[in-house]
Amino acid sequence: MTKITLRTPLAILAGLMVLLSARTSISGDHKAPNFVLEDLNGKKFELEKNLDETPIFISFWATWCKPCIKELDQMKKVQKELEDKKFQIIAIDEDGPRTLSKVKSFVKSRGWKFPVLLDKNKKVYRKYQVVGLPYSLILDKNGTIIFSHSTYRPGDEKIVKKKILELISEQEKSSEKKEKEKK
Amino acid sequence: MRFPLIPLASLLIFHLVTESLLASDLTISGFNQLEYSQIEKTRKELFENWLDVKAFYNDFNLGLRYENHHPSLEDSIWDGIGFRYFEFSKEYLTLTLGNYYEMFGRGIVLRSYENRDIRNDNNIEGAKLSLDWERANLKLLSGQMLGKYGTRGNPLRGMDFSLSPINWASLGGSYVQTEIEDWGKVKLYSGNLSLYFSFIDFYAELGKKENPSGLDDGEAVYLASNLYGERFGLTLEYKDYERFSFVDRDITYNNPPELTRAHQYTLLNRQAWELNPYDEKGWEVQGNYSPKDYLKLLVDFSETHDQKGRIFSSEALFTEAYAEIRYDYQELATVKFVGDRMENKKSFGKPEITGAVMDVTYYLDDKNSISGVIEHLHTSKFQKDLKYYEQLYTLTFSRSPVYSVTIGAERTTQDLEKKRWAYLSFDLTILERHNISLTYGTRRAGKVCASGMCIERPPLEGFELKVLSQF
Repeated sequence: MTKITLRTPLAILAGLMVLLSARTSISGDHKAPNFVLEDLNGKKFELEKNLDETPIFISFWATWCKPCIKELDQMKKVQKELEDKKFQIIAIDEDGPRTLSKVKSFVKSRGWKFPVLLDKNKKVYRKYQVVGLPYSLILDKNGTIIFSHSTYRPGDEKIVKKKILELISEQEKSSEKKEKEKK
Repeated sequence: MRFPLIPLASLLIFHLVTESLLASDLTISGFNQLEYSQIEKTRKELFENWLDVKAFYNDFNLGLRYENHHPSLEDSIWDGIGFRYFEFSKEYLTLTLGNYYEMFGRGIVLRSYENRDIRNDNNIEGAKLSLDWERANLKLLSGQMLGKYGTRGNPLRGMDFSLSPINWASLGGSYVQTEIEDWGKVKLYSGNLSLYFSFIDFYAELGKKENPSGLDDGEAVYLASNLYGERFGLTLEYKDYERFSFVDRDITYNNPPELTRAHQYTLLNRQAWELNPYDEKGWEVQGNYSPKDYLKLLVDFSETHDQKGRIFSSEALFTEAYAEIRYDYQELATVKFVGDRMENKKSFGKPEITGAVMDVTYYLDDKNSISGVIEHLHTSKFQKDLKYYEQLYTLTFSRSPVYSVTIGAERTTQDLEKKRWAYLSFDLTILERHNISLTYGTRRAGKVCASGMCIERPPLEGFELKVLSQF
């Protein structure tokens, strides 16, 4: 058997840190890959068609994932707090055939008012290179990923809310500037 | 000294190509998952690493996964490229060459997927064409599926379509065929119907399995319905799988819905039912109700029989009744109570299991919280001649968004050599994209289950390191 010591994972960790330091030069800001998924009523939802001059919060979740549900319950509150602001929440469900049928009644009873999309065999999950749930992202109005976060710890929603408000404020400033320039 | 023309020219070309690509729409992203553990006394190590890299360039997408297993959780040793693909997407068309995953309908005739928690990866190697219009989809595929121990199956061909001519209904159909060692050529096909109304929806899928001998022909029925209101939802499901397993050596082609509860808690998850599509029928009902924003209720009941058993009778091989109540006390605390009862007549000793969970989270302020979970399971076997209990306690301090510290302890009165386990775990998030988890101590071996499949996780007796990195 090949002898593995603690040095091996540490070497990989070091390699990852190098990659991390190089990440901006390799790929810059990531553009969120486009996807088409069905919602709970079988209607198709395409990301690119919904890049609507507003920031988008995307959360990958499943009915069996305890922290995911906690996060989305908190995001429901954030949505209510920011109801006068323009931003979107999209929940991408990762339930497999075992629990897929239960998603709709779960969502309805929870009173979540945002679109819930069904990623039936983890097509988008793989596209976004998600390994564990929950996983969340914030996209700016152009669809660029400006924030991504694995796991959920109580209080994370405050950071998400702050980032969304910053984006909204930036967008408001830039549209005001454009209007002034037009005049 | 010779002028190093070729290396310099190569470097120049590489520089020009990458510069022009970087200036265009090239995106490269990657993910690395590392798991390492060491048993303190014997120095035996488990080491697994998955490095996924993807590149997106206009309509092209390619990726690969490099894996190291020294040894894996299931004691195999290998390194290499476990997954690689090239994909072209333009408007409604997607062509994939290489490795891919696919599910037809609800997985009754075909499901190829990866779940690292249960070390399942039955990817298909070949080609797939998907056509995705507004009201119709068509998928055609060809390839060989990967088995649990690394063998590839015989060539598999498949087709799946769905049509949604009206907003409230869609129709679909799937077909797959391959050769399996015991039965020769096997064909599976299914048809499905979805209906959506304002307060109710319905899904039905009927499948058929055929082979030339006719001896192993099978049938599958899966029905599901959702009924919902403003704060209420009810799901009813029915399954009837008769000789519908689609297996060749270590290759499992299908994964129909299981219809038992998927548990969030460790002790209950260890007792999960393992799906047997060869001989199984049953039903499940789940109700969700949130009378207030701060109060949520969930009840679930399921019953599984073999083909000889009668539905709604006491002959069930597996029954489970589950209830949970969650209460949010202002912004200060969340309390959850769970009660569960399982009877498993197929398992050794026909265990009757009663479980209870108390899960409390107290929010100290905007960033800091403490949560404690007590899980208790009482098992009686051999018509109550053998009784024991298991308890698992976890206490977590969490500081958003940076770290959490967990102390866990488990004990049992079961007749085992070891009866107590305890560990300390530290989870750290760095720069939003890196999660490091370090655990030290002892943790009990046990089943980890998902999608009706389970694997036996070895015990932890030393330390464990898990690192997830995105770049």
